[in-house]
Amino acid sequence: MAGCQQNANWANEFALKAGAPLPNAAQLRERESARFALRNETTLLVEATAVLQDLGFTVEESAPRLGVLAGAKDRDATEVGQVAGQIAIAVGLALLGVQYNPVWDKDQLIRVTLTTFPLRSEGAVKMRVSFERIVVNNQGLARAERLDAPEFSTGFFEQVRKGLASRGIRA
Amino acid sequence: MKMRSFTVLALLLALVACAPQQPANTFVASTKPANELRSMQTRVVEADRETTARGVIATLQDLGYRITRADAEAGTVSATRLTGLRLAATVEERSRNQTIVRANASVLALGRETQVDDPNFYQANFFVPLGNTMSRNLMVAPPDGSGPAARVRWLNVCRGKDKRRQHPANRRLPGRDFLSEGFGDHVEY
Repeated sequence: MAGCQQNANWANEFALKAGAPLPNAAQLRERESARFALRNETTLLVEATAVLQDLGFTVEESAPRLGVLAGAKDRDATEVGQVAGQIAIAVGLALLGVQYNPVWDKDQLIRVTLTTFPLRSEGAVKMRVSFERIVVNNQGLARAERLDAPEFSTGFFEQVRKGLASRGIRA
Repeated sequence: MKMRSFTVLALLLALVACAPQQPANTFVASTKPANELRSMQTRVVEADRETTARGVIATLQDLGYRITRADAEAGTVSATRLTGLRLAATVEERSRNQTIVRANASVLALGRETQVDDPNFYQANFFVPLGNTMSRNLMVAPPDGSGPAARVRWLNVCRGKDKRRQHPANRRLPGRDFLSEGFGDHVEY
């Protein structure tokens, strides 16, 4: 904190570093996007909203004219294996006379940003979905992570397609 | 009965008095002249308003921001990255096929929201990616091309902030500000 107070330019320096373009932006975009062969963007957004709700997300922002949906959900981040491992390390080190505070993930907030873009010349709509989470451990420290494994977006798109199919829409 | 009610009331008052006050984030505005700030934050795009707004949204998502608010009528988009960097953009029609984009970024840390006023940030970390996404050259706005000015400052105070603050992930805890998140080893952005 003292360092920040002394350096008047700290906010700019942080913004330059933290706001730099992602080196793998193109790959991420491809991985998180899918094309739906339907002309009505609103129909796709309605189905995407339903899937998000099925997955337990609360919709926090919806701007259909710009093709934007955003939501979040809370989940317990505790994993038995991680807790057991940390306690085992603590016990082992205690036997050697070394004090160790076991650390494990406790809470997490998962956030989603979903955007759609009409591809008018193709008669289709492109959808992109991005997930991230903020994990707080048992010591109160937090970290932010992108959830960019392909399964997250492909699983989501699959559910949207199933939902559309149940309404008789092939996309 | 009256005595019991009084005791409960006294206890409640004591609890309220002892509760830690949640300080509101104070906004630290740039000290640079308004025209200099406007110049670094504003560009003109050869596209209509809706295309530009969608381009801004796609760019922010590419950059790893989370969209927190979008309003088609007002032409505003607010987004957050790494929980500590916020960016609000406005789009305003300049002529039939020209739109003015203005971006305003701030860093949230230590109970303060500090405005970013480095031209390199706006150019390298927003306008260049925006031009690439939209496949268009962005032009510097002429001095009279005044986009939205003061109101943009407040746009990135995202809706539902209070609700998010209640979550453990958003509580102000030791090491829970951008210093631990932005420069930490475990941040994957």
